[in-house]
Amino acid sequence: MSRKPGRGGSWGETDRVERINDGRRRQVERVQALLAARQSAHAQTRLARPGVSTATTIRYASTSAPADWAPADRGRSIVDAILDSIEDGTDRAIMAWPSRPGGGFAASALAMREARASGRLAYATLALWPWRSGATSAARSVLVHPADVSQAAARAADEMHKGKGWAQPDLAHNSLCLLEMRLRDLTAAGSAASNGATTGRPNIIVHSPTLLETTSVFPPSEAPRPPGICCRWAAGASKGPRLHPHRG
Amino acid sequence: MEGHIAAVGDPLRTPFAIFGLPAATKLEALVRCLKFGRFSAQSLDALIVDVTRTGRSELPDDWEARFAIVLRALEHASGRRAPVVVLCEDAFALRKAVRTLRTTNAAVRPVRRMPLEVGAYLQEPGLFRTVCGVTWRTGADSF
Repeated sequence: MSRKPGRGGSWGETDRVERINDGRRRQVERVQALLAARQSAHAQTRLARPGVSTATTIRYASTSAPADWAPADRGRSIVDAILDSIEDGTDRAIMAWPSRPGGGFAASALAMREARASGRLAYATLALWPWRSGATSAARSVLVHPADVSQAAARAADEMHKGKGWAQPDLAHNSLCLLEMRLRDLTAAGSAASNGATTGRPNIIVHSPTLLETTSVFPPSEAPRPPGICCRWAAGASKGPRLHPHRG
Repeated sequence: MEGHIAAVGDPLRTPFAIFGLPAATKLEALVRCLKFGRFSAQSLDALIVDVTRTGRSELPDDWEARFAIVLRALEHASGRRAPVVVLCEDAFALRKAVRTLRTTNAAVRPVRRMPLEVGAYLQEPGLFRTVCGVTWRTGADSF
């Protein structure tokens, strides 16, 4: 495009073309720098925290039909959306229709149970807003199969015993595995109490923990004294968790 | 066994925990909650926002203002800014929530991605029975 001055071109035209080329080059560099900064910002929000390598299918039932054990396939899209958000850091808005999904606490507890059993997350911390007194009521009517929870815990304990690095040393992974493995006693106790018949409705309800009982939940404190919410959360530890391996 | 039970019930040590956040009207109250040691040690992984009809039962009609407060409070938590997952069951709540998310995120640096809108078809109430389901995802501008 530019004409060399030795062949009759003017120096002024050459300078102008070079300035244009330099400007375009700087613009490309600025765009590339901005894109690289944006990509690095998104990469920083990604979270990879895999847990147990062998997935376990957890079955659930409702207290109204306690013998109807099934995986949480209907809520799979909501669970996946929650876990995808945790991993990629993107906000999501889920609209469930035409029927009601059953509340945010049940969805959160289900997502954590599935994340632990599938190995998508080694540990997780969720917050639920807005907290209300009846937030956990829907989770009381959902039964979790004790043998499935126990099997998932046994696999996690086995991997920790073999030295897999996903367990955080400052978290109580061993205690959680031990408590969940004790849930297997519920199935044995149910069989013994009913002479081997574990399909009776009252027997299943009594010997199956609910989703709430297998979830560590810490409600906020209404007490205005400092440090506020921490007092109630810390007080929850003295009362023990909502996990009852000897229930029934 | 009591030691293991106490460990799983300890909000600082239990591996999987759900913490309730109040629908506070003051930013300071929520910031104080998010300064809890668990969030500084392990970071908050996600905030689940329940704006279903039952979840909004104790909120005023203009619940978006309180939702915006909790979104602003997230900026004060340590670690990465926790993603927000809004669960709703009607289009009006969805639009209000997405609008609030967009408005709040517009003032956040580094720039956050637009919220994704996810539809979950539930033929019957609840999440725990096996049915054939339809799931789709859209961009932020259409649903």
